[in-house]
Amino acid sequence: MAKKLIKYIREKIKLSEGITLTESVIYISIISVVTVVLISIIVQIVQIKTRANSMSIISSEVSNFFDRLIYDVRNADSFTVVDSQTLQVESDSIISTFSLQDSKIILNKESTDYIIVTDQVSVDSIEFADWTSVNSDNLLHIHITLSRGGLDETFQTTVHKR
Amino acid sequence: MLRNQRGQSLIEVIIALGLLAIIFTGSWQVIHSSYMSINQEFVGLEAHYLVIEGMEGIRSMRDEDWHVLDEDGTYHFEYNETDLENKYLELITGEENVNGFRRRIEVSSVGRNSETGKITDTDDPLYILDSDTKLVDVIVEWEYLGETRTDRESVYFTKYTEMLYG
Repeated sequence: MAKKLIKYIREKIKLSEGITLTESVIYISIISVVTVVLISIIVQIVQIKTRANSMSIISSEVSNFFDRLIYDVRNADSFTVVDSQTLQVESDSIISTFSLQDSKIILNKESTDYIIVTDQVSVDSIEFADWTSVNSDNLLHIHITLSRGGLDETFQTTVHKR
Repeated sequence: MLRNQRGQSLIEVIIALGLLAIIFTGSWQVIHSSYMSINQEFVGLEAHYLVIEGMEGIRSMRDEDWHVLDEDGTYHFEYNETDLENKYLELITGEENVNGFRRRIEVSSVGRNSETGKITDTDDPLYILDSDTKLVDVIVEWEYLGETRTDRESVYFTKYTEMLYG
């Protein structure tokens, strides 16, 4: 039994020694090349996944915000740009205030705060501008920059009060 | 037997790694293409709000002064704020560049069928030009992977303010 084992080990060692040098060089080089490629692919997949995720979140947040704002301003009786980060919209004597607070956009209506742009994204900047002309008083210009995970995007639009 | 096994395992490993590489490149391509489509939607959303902006600007100008739409052509608008008493939105010939998008506003004449009053084209024998109606196209174009992409909106505007007050 012991003799058999020794013979087996000897054979094994002998065999491995015979092949190891050439084989292990090829072996290690192939594995290292493939590993580098695989790791870079995996890293890219993860990066792309995160970026795509950020994009869809920013998209939904911005369309949510713009749709809400456009609806409110169009149907308002009047609006006032208090400062570039605060907008007051008056409709049926109820005043709603959109304002930027701690990278979030808050809608205050009848003393209740509603979060319009959530903390899933950070609002880097917002700019309301009253593009009111001489005869009509009805044009609001909005500029907003949202960011999430190293990705930031600026959107702008204008809404005309009906 | 042992010699035989070791020889095979090297080839096996190479094949296995090769397969793995193919699978990973395949899945990377799938993920990349879905990323590109999300990216395209993302850019498209920005363009969409620029189209809305163009249309809302025209709507405001229509209410203020219909005559800015008198002449057919390609325009962009500019907001002038020379002084507080003299702020106005102005239509200027040519297209403009906004955040990497090209935007132009095309104003064209509209004719109606003289019997039915419905909008028609010049082929219609009963076509008469209606100077109180204009077709406005807001077109936003941008380059995406060497291709030109477009978002547009077309609206017929009528001089309703003068019908109401004039």
